[in-house]
Amino acid sequence: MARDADLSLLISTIYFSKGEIKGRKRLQKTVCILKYAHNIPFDFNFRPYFYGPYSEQLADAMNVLEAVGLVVEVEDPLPSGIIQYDYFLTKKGDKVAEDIVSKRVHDKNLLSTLKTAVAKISSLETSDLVVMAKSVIQ
Amino acid sequence: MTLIRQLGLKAYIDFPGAIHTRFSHALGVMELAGRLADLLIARLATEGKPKAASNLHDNRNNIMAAGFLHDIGHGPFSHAVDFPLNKLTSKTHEEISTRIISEELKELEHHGISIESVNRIVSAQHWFPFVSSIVNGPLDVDKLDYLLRDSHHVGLKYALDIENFIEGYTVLGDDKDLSKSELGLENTPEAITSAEIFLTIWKGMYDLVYHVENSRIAEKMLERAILAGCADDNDLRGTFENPEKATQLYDEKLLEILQQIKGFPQDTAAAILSKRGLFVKTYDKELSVEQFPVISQGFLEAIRPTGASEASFTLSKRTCETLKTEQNHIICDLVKSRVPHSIHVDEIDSQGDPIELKSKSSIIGAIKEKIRLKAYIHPSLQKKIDEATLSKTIEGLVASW
Repeated sequence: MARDADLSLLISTIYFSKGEIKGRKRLQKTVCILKYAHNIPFDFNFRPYFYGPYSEQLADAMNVLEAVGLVVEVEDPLPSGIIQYDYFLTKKGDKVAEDIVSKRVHDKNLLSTLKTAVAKISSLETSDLVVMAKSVIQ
Repeated sequence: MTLIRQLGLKAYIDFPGAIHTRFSHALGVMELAGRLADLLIARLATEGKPKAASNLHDNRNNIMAAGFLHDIGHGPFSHAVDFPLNKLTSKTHEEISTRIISEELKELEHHGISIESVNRIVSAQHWFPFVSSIVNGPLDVDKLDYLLRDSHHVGLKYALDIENFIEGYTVLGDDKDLSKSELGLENTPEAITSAEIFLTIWKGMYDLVYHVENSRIAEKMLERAILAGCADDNDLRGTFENPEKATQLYDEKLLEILQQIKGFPQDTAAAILSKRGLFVKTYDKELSVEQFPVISQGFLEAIRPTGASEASFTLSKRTCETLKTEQNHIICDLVKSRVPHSIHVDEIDSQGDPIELKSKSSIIGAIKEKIRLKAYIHPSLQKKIDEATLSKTIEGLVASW
């Protein structure tokens, strides 16, 4: 995949996470770990704030995907009163992801690495994810 | 800066009363930067964050200088000239600002101001992020000043009590490691409600003023007129390829130069000055998978945050070529509504992380990005190109990008 493939990689990441990522924090940490620990070529820059790495460019990219209707952000009010925002691929987003996965013959190795890495990351508790994200960008 | 109108072409087309300049905005940002620094210094000292307080105290003059100088790299008509300037110099207005500060304002060092600190604040690269954020960040005083100054001058009577709002600002993070600190909000209902008011006004100003249609059309025409002028006129190209010369231009001077270059530049200058002959909006659709038959991945990548102007430019060029019109007679324009960047409040979640303002406020969460794809055509094309043909051409190009 070319360097300007951030959105394709992002859609594929959500697709391999069974079509959903729960929480903006989980999304940020997942992409950070994919970039720095698994060498997935995301072009987003992360800054190591005290609450862990964060990329404004990733947030902007998600806004674009949501604006065009490939991803939907859903409010999920937690018992603590805090609103968590979960991300889901829409039907069209799911179709785009399937196209990326099935037609990108030359990127098969990358997509296979991404799939395996996303599966590992998805099994982590958010607290472990936060620790790992902080460690990969130190 | 005294000869560049803060609202650029909007002051010529839609809001003729908005005659305030970049200079008055710069003074306002400097004043607010000083007030916010003072407020935070006092608060941090009493909150047991002496290191942050002391750092802010030491940087107070740098922050104020950065507030005054943050827009010094703007060319005439403010943001309207950003795209051609960036295309011809490969530099952003922030990079041009920092170069001017480094090379032309060395004298400031003799007055206790650190050029390196000022430049790092202007470009949001300060060693301690909370310091930069006062002038360049999601809650920066730049926005506070331009929102209220611009709304006042266009006649919109928004009520945001700045003094009250900045009372809710704080510095988040560990005092032992300021390199990871951040400017955020107190976790109080007052601070959160004030932020909601501020961000709602901010969004409203984009919808009602900054993206207002006729001015937007004139801005896009001006962009193309400068690029066309640079292709035809060596002097203009020489000026725009040299940031130092380009930033010496001011609004009326640029129009005067364009009036001398026959063809599209001259016609555009005349249209701006007379408000007659502006392009006509002929296509306007929300860029979404519901509205567009196909949006290629390549097009989506192209319109990401830094690419919207370049993607619009390329799409315009290809549309003109496909429909065999004169170059620049069809202008495509991707208009993205603004959404607030991440802002945190002083509350920690179960993983020890501060909570985003968006997670405390459904109002902020409801501010969503929308992208519209518009096309404006030369008045002479109105009888030659119908909306259906234009629509089919543009949508074909978006699908096959």
